[in-house]
Amino acid sequence: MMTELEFENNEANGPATWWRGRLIFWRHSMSRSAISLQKLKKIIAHVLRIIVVIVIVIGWLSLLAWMFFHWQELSMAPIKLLLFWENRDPLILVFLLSLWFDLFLVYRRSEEMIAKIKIDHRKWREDYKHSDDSYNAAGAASEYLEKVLADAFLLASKLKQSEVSVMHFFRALLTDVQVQNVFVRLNVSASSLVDKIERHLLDLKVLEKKPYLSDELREVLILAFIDSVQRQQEGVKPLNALIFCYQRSPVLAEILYDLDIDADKINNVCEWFHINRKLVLNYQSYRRSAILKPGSGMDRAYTAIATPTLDNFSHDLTLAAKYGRLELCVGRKKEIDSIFETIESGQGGILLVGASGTGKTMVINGIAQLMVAEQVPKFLQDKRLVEIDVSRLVSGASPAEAEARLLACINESARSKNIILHIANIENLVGISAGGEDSLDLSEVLSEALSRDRVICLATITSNNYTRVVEKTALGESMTTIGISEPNINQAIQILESKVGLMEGKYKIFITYDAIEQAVILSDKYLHDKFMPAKALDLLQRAVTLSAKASRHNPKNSICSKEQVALAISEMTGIPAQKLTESESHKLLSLEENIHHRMVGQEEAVTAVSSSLRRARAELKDAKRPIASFLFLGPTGVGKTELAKTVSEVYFGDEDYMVRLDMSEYQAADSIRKMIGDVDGTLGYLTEAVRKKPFSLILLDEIEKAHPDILNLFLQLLDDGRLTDGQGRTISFTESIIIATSNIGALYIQEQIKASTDLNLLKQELIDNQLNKFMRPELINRFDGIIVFKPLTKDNIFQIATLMLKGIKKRLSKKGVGLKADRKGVQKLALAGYDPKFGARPLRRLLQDRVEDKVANKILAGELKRRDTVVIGPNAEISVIKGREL
Amino acid sequence: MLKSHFLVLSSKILIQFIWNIIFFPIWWYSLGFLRFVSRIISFWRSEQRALGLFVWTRNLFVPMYGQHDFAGRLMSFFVRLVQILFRGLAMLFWVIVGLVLILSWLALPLAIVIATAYQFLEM
Repeated sequence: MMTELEFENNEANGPATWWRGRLIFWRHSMSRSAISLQKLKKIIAHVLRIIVVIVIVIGWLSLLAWMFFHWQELSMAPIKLLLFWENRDPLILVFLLSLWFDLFLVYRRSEEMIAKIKIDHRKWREDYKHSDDSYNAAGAASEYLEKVLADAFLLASKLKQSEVSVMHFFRALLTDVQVQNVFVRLNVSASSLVDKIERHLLDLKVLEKKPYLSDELREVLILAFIDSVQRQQEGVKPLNALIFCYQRSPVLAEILYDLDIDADKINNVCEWFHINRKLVLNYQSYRRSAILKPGSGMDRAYTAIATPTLDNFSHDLTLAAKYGRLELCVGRKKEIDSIFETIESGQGGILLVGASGTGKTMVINGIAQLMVAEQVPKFLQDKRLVEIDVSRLVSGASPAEAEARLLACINESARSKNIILHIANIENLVGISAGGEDSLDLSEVLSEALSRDRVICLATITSNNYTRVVEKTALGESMTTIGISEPNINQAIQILESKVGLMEGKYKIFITYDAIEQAVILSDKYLHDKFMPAKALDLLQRAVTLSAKASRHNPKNSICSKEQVALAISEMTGIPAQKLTESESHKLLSLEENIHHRMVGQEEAVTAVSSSLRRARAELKDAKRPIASFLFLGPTGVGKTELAKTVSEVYFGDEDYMVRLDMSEYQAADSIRKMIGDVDGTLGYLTEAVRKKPFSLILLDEIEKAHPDILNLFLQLLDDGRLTDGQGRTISFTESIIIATSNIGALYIQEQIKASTDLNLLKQELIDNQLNKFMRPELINRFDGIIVFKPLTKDNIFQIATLMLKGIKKRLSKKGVGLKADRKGVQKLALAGYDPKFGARPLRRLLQDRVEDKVANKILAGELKRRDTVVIGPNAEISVIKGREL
Repeated sequence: MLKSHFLVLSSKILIQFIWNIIFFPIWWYSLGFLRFVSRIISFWRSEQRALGLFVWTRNLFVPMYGQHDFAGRLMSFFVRLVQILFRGLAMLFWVIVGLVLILSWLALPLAIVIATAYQFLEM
């Protein structure tokens, strides 16, 4: 929020900077004796206050005692109570003397209240004419900051270090309650932080000179002062200095980085505390003025006229705001100001356009609240904001009646002169028309009335409805549009922070900062068809409900952290929760090993895919591309599809995360519709699958068979990581892995492998002379890796046969039947199933014929029962060993 | 060294304490009085806003409920007159309360002095 300020250094005052016409510096004369004096003064003031209060209590007790002793006289003539001072009585004397202490207390309280205000904000307005051009910001330090500074000074002198550095100051900051709370929200253990900082402090040079504030620390304090002026605070508080400590001390930044804290996090949490303070202040002043807002539909001067028709079809938002029924609006000052400016420029109709969930209604609520607090331009003061209920307006009425109702409402508000209309989802008015085809529809009636009667109307509409329904109509042209844009990540976090207080109170759950951040990041990543901040708020709400449920069983655990948010999003999207929190690096480092658990041979391909995946993730490249994309080349049956399945299982946790498209089904140009859907509402197979499961592997089988137009589609997909579907929605592919397979050059590969050509040469040859006949070079180039699969060897086939038999064994074990295979028998089977042209495919058929079919026959014939064992002998013959009878 | 430090410190504190006691009566009749009066004034302002007295007087000749015909104007005028009368009375009450408070602020120390002195006077 602050532009970078330049510091100049001079002898007398140390670092100083020009801001709002004054040179600001920080000069703080500090000594042990001054600190002790301050402490002593505070103690004496405290003792004095206690004595004063005791004397006051004694005084009033004396008066009561006197009344008690003279009860009879007083009850005869109560007037005597007023003339109590005429009685010469020691009790009365004590009371009279104690009254001085009453007055003294009033004096002290008043002075203390004034002393708390350290910053005179009138003098810091941009246009203020200063008499002097330099300012010592040390005078603006709040009591708490003074204490922190004193602690930092004492710490440095205790360690015999002459310079009070940012680190000393930061260590002292950690004793401030508000700063402690910041780290509690960040889920950081204070003790480990303190340990690290003290270890660093002990390493600093020892110089036995009188300690002084370092230049960096003074800069931190000056920046904190400017921050507190901008925030309209009474004085500079420790919290103001926190973020600047981080910025000015690289060591501190490193220490915090180790604890997983960065500038954004500190900033957002500090902002959270500032927002809460502001919310409380706003709320107090808002409640005070809300009492004065008229509760009837009238303005204060009773010049408005009654609006019976309008009242029937609407509800009063200012009234709802007056009684505190609307949620507080946060951080939409810019939009609200531009609405006011538009009205001021004479435009009556204003259309707020934004995706659903971005906060259009909140802006309207915000205006209603400002109107109640009367913090609005003059033309909105003493007015009502009334929402027309369109559904009630049109329900049970013919179009002609609805039109009459709408006209009556507009008429009344025009005559009443104290009404601002609000119509939510104005698209509902379009298309309702009375009479024949040529007659006006409701929206046109409204737009005419707006220009004729000078009624102010605020309407809302979602972006796609605006372009679809309203943009080219008379209504769209007669209204000024104001965009309500989606907040960015940090803004969304801050909006959520402003709502957390209510949730925490309602569910009795403590919400950590990580949970909020995670809610925003995950919803941004995985909930593509909803909008910020509503989707993040939804997600957080779910996570809080989950935690509340859990804490009912275990009351000690009433915290909502990022794990609960991950759990909530996995409930919403089906993405496995542990995938979201598990560290990806571990998974990536052991990729080869995991893949080989179910994949035989193809070492080069597996290594290439694994290292490519690692490279794609570690490179920190543009996040706007798919996780990785590969083109698998090789003859049939060598494991291209199997590797894709394995990657899906290893990387995403399940084979089900694979979306398989047989590109031979997309040979015609118009099959593009099948893939991405069309305007008529047909859903695209690819786009719909990824929209529902953004976390998936997309397998494009035999890509060369697809129509060139469809291949062009993948150009964009591989480059930007997104596609626009037939309905105009943007589908993100940034969480998917794309794998295309192709048989191009299968024969060539087989020949060259036989001739033991180098694999790299072979690949280059394939790309240059074979692939380019079917695919454009730019598409080939866009894949992260082109991977050539070699034909299988006999050894591979044997291992595959073993793996397949393992699969059969697993299925049999469900029936309680065992399977034993002789090594020689398996070798025989593998040899019989080996065909260099078709890879492992014939083997599967062979195992079906020679093992599965026979076992099935035996089961049906009743020869194979539970506890029996099927044996594959040395000649691959099948026999059965009978199990033990029970 | 330590002793002299302590002496400096304690004398500083003592001086401030004495200054507090001397300054307190002066404060009561200067700065303190001004602050109290300004609080009473803001109290009057908010009461005025709550009663809408100025709004009613400003609109004395403006017809109520948008009734611009002669009868409407006439009735409005009298209704507003009655409203202003009652609201004015209420405002007057608050003005008197405020004035009494201000006078009490001024009179309280004197009253205490007199009443205390009276305790020691011989009959």
